[in-house]
Amino acid sequence: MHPPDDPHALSSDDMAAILAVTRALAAPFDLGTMLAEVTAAACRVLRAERSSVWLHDATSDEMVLEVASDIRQVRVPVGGGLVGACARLRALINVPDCYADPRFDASVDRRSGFLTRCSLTLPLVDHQGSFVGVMQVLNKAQGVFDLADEALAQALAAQCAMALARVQLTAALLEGAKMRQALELARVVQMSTLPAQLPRLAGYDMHATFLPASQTGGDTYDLALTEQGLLVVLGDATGHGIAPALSVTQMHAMLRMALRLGADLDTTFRQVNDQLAATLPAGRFVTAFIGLLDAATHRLRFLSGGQGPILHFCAAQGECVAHKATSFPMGAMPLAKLRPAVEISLAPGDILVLLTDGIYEYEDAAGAQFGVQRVEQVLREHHHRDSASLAGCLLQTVRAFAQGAPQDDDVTMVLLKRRFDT
Amino acid sequence: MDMQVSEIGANVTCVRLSGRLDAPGADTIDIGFTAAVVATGRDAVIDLSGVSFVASMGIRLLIASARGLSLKGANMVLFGAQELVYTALDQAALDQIIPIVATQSEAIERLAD
Repeated sequence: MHPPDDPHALSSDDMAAILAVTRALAAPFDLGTMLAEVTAAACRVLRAERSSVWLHDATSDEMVLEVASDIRQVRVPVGGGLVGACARLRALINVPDCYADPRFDASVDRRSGFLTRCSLTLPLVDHQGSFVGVMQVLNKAQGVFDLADEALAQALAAQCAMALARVQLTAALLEGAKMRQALELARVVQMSTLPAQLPRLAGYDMHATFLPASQTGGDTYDLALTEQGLLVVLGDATGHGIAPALSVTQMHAMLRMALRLGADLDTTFRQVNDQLAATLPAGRFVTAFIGLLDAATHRLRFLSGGQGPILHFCAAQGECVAHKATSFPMGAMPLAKLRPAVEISLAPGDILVLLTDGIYEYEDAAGAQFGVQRVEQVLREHHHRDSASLAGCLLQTVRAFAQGAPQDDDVTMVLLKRRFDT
Repeated sequence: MDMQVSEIGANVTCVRLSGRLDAPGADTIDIGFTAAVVATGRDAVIDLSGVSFVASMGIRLLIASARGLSLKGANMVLFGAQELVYTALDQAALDQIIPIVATQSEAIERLAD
């Protein structure tokens, strides 16, 4: 089969066999199928009784037996047995008599009932030079593995390593696609909670901005006319992905239902908090501002679960008053005692400014945060603008500050401004 | 973000945190912190004097741990927060769930209340 003067050269038959394996390995995209193809091909091409593939678990620095016909989930440390020795040396080991080799670990034979005579053990190194595993073939049908077999096995191992790298990359891409689908679903859920259009209220100018980050967070807002007044909500559920989007959806639905049923602000807040505490998993909660504006008296009463600072720009003084949350984040635990709602009066030109931490915690490339003081500075300089323009100005300032640093969190702004002429 | 765990007497766990308790920081210590504080079911005092910044995900970790401890009948007290950190915790009204005091001795006294 091989030219006698070059034991490493492959014959045309061997080459055909390898190409057949290459073709077979190009098709499967799941690890199990691919490894089954490899081990079957190794037995066929090398005329061996058995073959196996061991993958490297970098976390534990162990070799894990992935494919064998009779036993599963064998682990050996790198350095242990012939597989471990091959992993450590990153070199082919050809052993004609395994039981005479001190590196041979007979425990796998004892577990499987198989008797290993001779073995060929090769490292699997992908095209980028990364060690990914070990291929082992056992018991040549006649005799022991020779130099020609080594050459064949090395060609096969190279194909195997490349196929393995491709399958692992495909698996990572599929996982990424699943993640993107989940995030897209979360985004749809999240967007469904937002009002389609803002209400019109005489004497007031209002604006809301919602800029989702690449990973879904759990921001929400609401501006809606109810029997109790203008409902103003800004919420931010902890975490990223589908869970926080569902958390704010729950909160939103409960808020609107409670108010529709005629509950007052305090009762609504307590009920929603306690319901969230009973239903949200541990470690999940929602920071939320919930306010009701009486447009006739221009008085706004609010409760805030962990959402702060709440900025009230007082036009007459040209300064902001910052209010902190009235209680802990909603859903963190049941409310034993509800602190009284805060009541503020909105004078002509005054602005209620509600921002999620996506604004306050927006970081520049050096890790500095935008912070409250910069927000207040923008309000002092641009408070004469209408709320939409002011929100745009604030966002522009944040972006200028960030100097291209990516947006890591949802950015949500709700601005409610009493007109000067009312 | 780093954490060091020690015992104060027979019944109190003390965890000293240092670094930025933001999303990456909270991620870094999440499992270790939960194991040290919640899994033991013992009262805990958390030293925040080495924490330079806390963000919402850090607050989440503290609340989740306090809640977990509360379910086991134990309490948690924070102490030593720098001004910036204290302001962030105060803005979120965290003190209504977890007492925030100035010193370790005050924290231990608060556990006895």
